[in-house]
Amino acid sequence: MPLTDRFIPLLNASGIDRGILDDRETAHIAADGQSLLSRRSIPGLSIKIDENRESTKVDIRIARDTHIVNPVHLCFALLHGIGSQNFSVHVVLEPGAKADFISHGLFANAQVVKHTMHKLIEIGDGAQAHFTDSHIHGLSGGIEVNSTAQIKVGKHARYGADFSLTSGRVGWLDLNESIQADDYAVVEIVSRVYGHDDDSIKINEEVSLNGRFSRSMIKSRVALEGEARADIVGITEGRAEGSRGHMDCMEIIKDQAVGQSTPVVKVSHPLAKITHEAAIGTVDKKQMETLIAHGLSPEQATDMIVLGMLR
Amino acid sequence: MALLELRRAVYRVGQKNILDGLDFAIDEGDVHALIGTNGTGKSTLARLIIGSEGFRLSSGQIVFDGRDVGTWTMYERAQAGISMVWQEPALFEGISVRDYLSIGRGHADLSQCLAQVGLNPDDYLDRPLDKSMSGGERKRIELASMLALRPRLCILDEPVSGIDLVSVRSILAVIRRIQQNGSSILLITHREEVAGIADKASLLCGGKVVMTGVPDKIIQNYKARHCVVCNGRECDYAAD
Repeated sequence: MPLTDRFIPLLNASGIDRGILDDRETAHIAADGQSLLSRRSIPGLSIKIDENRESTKVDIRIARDTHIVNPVHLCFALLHGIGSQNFSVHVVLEPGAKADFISHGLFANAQVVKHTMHKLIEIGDGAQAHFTDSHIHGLSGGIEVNSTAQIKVGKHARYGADFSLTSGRVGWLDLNESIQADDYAVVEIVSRVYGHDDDSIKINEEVSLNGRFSRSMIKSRVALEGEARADIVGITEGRAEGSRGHMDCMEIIKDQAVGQSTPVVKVSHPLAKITHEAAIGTVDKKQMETLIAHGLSPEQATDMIVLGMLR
Repeated sequence: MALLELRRAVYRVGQKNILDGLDFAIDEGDVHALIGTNGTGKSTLARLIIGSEGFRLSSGQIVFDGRDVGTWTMYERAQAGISMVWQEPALFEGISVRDYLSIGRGHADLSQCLAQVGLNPDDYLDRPLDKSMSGGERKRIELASMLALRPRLCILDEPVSGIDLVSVRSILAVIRRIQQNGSSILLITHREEVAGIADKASLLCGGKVVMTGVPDKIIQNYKARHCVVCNGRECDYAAD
């Protein structure tokens, strides 16, 4: 049976249209562990892959002023319950290019799994890139995710990222992202994670607003139950005239879970401004009572509030 | 016939009786206004009726549809048909107006409910119920939820606060529509034009209902600051 045939049920189970692998106008790569199952380049977007048992390297380059219409799908999976995956992904958007990326981390079968991802993303002047990174984990919690990303956002360029891990157990998550923004660049990053049992979540997101009138938003939404732990660090530095940054962290805590949020604000230019807000605590009483008064049980109300926050 | 009765209700916080042997009843199908100045315990009374966490009578009874619900949880009371619109409704992340209005709605037409409170369904059904919404918009959506939910008893706590002056009349019409949908309404207000639409009104002062009757008469007494309980010596109402 072809590897891709084994991959399809995993896509289906994750609610992902299998047609993305067949569509000739949609670029993609699909990997099981270190093995590349499938890939497709399209005009204006080239994919080069250097398969290696230790660490597979992927280079994606989008040519100058090319607008990629369909999202680029990056599927990283482990079909088996035990194993590891180590990828280095280098994405370059040349000036004026535009693309959306949807990254699927498919680890629903994970029992003892380690997924390591190193990303280097270069967004040229006037280019735009948005990454939606969605992980689907199983219920065992035996997964370790270690992800680092370094991103350079050029003049008048835009970078957006939306990471979510709200399905299944988180396991052990260590997410590090460091972003450098040039003049008039715009950065918006969102992370949403739902921790259960003894899950451990560490998120460290750092934005340096190096360019004049660059802007950023770091938004974190975390729900924790059982004995889960989360440590969220957001760092924004305003280094140039007119740079504006904001950090917004919200954590809902249930049971014996423990959440921590550390916003770090640095300003090294008198005309820069960075703000932050953080709220950590149990489910908001006013929200709860409003929903209960409309007929939901306390459990239903809690679910609606938590899932809404993570949406 | 009374749908809701409070009998000799006492609610004590520390040494102070917020409610002090209060007797109060709402008849089935009525809009019943509860009037009183700020701080007289109107919202506290609402929280005691809805069963908000931490709000239980020190003594006395809350009887709803013939059953003493004083020890019931808020969920049990909501299941029995008691619902409420808070003075400042909660905001939510990631919950759309459609999601919210769909809670327990039965067969209500959500678009119609929104249109009836003066909001265009095309603009609002998929909007998030978050801080991007103004206080007036949020209040209208809360009233729309009562049109959709059709509770047996709907408690409206200051329903026109946050509503611009020119829209007050339309909100009062919505309150009548909620009544026409089959809900009885406890209308908590300190504004006479709002109380004026009620079938009955009661004046709350010094932890007691000091007067119940037709709204015009109660409003006159309210405006005259004539307190039959403390004769101007003790209660917030008289001291105002």
